[in-house]
Amino acid sequence: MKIFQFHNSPIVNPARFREMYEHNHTSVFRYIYGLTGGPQAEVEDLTAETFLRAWKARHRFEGDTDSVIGWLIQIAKRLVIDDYRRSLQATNKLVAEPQTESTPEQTAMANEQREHLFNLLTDLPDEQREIITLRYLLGWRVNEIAKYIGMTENNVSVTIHRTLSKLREKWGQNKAESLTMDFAQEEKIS
Amino acid sequence: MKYIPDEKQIEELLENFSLKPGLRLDHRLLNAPWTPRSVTRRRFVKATTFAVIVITLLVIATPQGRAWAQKVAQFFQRINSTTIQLSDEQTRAMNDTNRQYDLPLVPVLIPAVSSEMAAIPGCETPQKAQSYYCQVALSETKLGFNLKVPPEKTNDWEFESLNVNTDSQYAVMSFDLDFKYIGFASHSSLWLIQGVGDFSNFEWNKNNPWEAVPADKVEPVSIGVYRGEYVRGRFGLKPGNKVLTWFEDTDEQRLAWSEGTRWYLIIFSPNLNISCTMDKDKLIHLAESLVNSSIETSKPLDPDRLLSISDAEAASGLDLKSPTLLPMDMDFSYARYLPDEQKVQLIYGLNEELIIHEWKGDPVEYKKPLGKYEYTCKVVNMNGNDAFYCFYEGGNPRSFLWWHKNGFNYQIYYDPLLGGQIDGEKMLLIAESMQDIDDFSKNNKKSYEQIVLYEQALRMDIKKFPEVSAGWVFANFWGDASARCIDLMYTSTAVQGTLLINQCKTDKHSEVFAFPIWSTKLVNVGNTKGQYIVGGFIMTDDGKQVWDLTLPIKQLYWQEDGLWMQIALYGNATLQSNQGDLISYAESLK
Repeated sequence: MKIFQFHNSPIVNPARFREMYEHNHTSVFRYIYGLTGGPQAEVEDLTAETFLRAWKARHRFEGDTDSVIGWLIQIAKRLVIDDYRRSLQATNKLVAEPQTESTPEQTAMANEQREHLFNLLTDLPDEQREIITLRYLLGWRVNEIAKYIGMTENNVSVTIHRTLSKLREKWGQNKAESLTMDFAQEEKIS
Repeated sequence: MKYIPDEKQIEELLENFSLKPGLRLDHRLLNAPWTPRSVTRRRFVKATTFAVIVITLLVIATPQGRAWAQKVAQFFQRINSTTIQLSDEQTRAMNDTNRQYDLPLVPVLIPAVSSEMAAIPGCETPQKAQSYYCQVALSETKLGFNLKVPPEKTNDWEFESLNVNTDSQYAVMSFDLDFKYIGFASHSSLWLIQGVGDFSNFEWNKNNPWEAVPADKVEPVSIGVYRGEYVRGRFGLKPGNKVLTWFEDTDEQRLAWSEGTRWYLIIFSPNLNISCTMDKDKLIHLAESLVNSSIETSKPLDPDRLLSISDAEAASGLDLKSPTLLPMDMDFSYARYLPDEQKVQLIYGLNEELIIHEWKGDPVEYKKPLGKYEYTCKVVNMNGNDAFYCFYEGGNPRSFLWWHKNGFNYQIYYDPLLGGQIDGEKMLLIAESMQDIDDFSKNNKKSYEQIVLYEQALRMDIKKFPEVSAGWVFANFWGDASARCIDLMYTSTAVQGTLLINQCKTDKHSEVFAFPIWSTKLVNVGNTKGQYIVGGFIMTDDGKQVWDLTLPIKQLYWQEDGLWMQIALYGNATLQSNQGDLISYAESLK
């Protein structure tokens, strides 16, 4: 007997899809933000497109509601790649949002830190950036990331540790240097 | 930068980003196909299923109605507010999806092609009769005037449906538009609605809070030599809210105009708000370029939207079976062919509640699915062979049945949207009923002959007009398994008017206390007492919904032979009918 697990999509009808959207749209948004570094409006557009594509393909989704987030971020990832190929330009233009009640100076400093960190994130290799996004922006556990990426848990932990060290190393780099690199990269592309 | 955080601090920074999507995402997905409004509109286009919805949406063509309408608007119904308070009934109807009830099975009836349709060259078979060309041609015959249609259909345009209301003399055509814009598909919908007479009486638009427009958002425009109105924006409901709010930053657009006695309304409803796909100028250009009638075109089959079993067989090369017994109101909707898997999905129900997969191959392993839903599974006997039945009885009950026969795998999945349940026995009956029949999408129109099938399914013996109609001709009917109701719709043979006869085994649709006491009157119906009610809810200039005695709606409620009965009369026919006439209709039912 052939082993074949085929399970009907749990998100076919509008009410179920709506529940799924309400449950997952913030995670998808954060995932895309983590991969692209913003800006917010473009991330929201890509998030919207992710769910519209998911709606179109909902009959083909064969997992359950627990695995739907993995399916959604696969769609999102393809969109981000397509978007990147289309634009062929770096997208590290973060407009950070203040999230806590702080003095204007504290808010400005926090925003600057976030912006800087996102710029560093967008310079990371794709896999490291995705793992960091899943771990910290979506709050996934190491074993969940390992299952999704197809790595061992140990490899994921090591990657996270090395990536954090790399981010720390790069933190102090001169912003001007980074901008010069971006400019040189754009010239090379054009 | 002097400050350099350590790894722990970087982790904290990352964890505390608290990124949140903003209003732009809400706006972009305001009209997404899974949103309540989108679902509501689709239901209106397909058919107004229950009397309570009809009461809310159907209105007028009377002198009083016209006078009121002319006072309010030329085209769109204006209000002087950017919010509208919905009633408890309206918000309940939007959210009432969790109640569970037993859904009976009804035999599938493949209607013959009507003589009107068969008379149109190229429209002789049930499948051909569903084509764009045949639907337009038949609608023109029924309406007595030529429809205007888009000049050409490109690959970006997909005809979805065409519904006509011969009584109120209008047609609703819907198209799916997938404009491509820098790689994104817009997945937009476009409705082209056209009719004869006074647009301000168009029932979709009238006293419907979703379609109202703040007065200062209506923009006068010219369509050729004709004048019209353009609106960008819409009222929308945020989750959990009871107040509709005007959304300015959306690309939903409406254009209405009239040409002599004819009126037109185009609604562009993007699921993804890409401003480049449609704007005011493009809408006006489309309006100006509409042509008279369509020409017959042969389009290749779209594997994602196959409108009959025979089309699905042609696309897939498979010999397909389809049920001859289906849950009530879960008619064949469309089929999809997945070429990579060489599999066909037959999709049933307005909300795709029932899906049947068919493909050729070795038997699949009967294995309980893993995941969030803890299914209970068992091997059951189906005509002497094993089948695999699983069901989940938690918050969102659902079930499926798998079996293998003659080299084919079959899987039926049932996931109800509105609470209608079918048990394992019924799943088996559906499976066992599958035969070589050429079912097809029937646009939700039912024939008089089907009433008896619904009566048997709901174990009801309903009353109808005697053979010689009392000035009314049968138009359609609906069944409601939840309330155990059958609603018959008749149209007047003499004047414009609609008569609904709603008969229920429960009191679910008999909540007369929702009407103001001063609009109701106690009357005698045969040997029993009934309530006669005049008027309906209208929307005032400031966005409030109030009862208006002058609205041409008259209703009668009573109980008889264990049935909760309601007669509701709409339109010009109310002018010529009084309390005595409604009682007479009620007493003539057999």
